[in-house]
Amino acid sequence: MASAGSGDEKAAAAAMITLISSDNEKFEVTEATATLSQTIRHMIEDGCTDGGVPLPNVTSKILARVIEYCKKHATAAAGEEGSSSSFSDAAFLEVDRAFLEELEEFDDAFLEVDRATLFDLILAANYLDIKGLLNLTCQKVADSVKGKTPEQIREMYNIVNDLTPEEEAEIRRETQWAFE
Amino acid sequence: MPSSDSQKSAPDRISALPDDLLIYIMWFLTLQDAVQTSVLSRRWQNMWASLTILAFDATKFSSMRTFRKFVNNVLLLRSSLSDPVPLDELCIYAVCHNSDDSLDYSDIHPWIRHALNSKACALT
Repeated sequence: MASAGSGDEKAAAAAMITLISSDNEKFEVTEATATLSQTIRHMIEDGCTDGGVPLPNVTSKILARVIEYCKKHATAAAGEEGSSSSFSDAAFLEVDRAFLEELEEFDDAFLEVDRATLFDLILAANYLDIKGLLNLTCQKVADSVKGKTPEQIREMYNIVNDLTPEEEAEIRRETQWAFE
Repeated sequence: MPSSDSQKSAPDRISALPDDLLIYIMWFLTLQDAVQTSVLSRRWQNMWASLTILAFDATKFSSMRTFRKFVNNVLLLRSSLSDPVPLDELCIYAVCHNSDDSLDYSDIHPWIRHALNSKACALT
C-alpha cells in the first residue's frame, strides 16, 4: 500500500485511470470519464485499477470511440452541475438547453459509423455497462428496423433465413395479427 | 475480431448478439414490429416473447377492436409457449371516447389474469 510521493501527487495520480485495450494500447482518462462505465466504477471502488484496467473485449479502435463518448458526456454532466449554482433560473435553463442541443448533435455525429463499428460499440457499451451509450446504439439499430418488412430487414443485416417455407408460413399464420 | 467493411459480404452481426441485447433492441421497437421479427429466422422465432415489459398503446391502433385483438393475441401466444418468461410490467394505455368502441371489464379481466399468472410486479 505504501507509495512514494507527496499527498498532492497521489491525489492527482488517483484522478487518472489507465485503460488497456485488447491490442495492448494504453489510454489515460480522468476518473470522471472512466466512471461513466459502471464496470470500471466498481473496479475503482474495489481498488482494482492500479497498473491499469485491462479490457480484453475491447479493441483500441472501439475503446477510442467509447472514450470520446464518455469524455463528452462526463464534461456535459460536470458543466450542468457547475452551472446550476452560478446562474439565475432563466440563464440556467438557457445553458441547459444549449448543453442538451450540443450533446444531441454530438450523439448524432457519433452514430455516423459503419454497421460493424455500431455492433462493436453495442458490445463494448454492454460489457462496460455504459447505459447512455447502450441506449444510443441500440436505439439506432431499432430505428433502422422500424416499419421494415422482414425481407428488408434480412437484406439489411444479412440474416440468413434458415426456416423451411412450411415453418415460415406457420409463423406468419401464427402472427398474422401483428402484420395487419 | 476483424470485420469486413463491405456491407454485402458482411456477417450477420445482429443475430450474433447475445439474447439479452437482442431483446434490449426490441424494447425500442413497437410491439408489432417486435412480433414481426419472429419470421426472420430460427434465431428470432418468439424472441420477442422474452420481453419482460409489455406496453400496449391503443392510440397506435385504428380502432379499439383491432387493439383488443392485438393484445389478446400477444398474451395468447405468450402463454402458449412451453416456458413463458415471467413479466415485470404490463402497461395498457387506452382512452375510450365513445361507448360503441370501448373496452369493458370482460376484455380487461383476462389481461389482468395473464399479468398475475406471469407474476408481473407492476400493472398500469
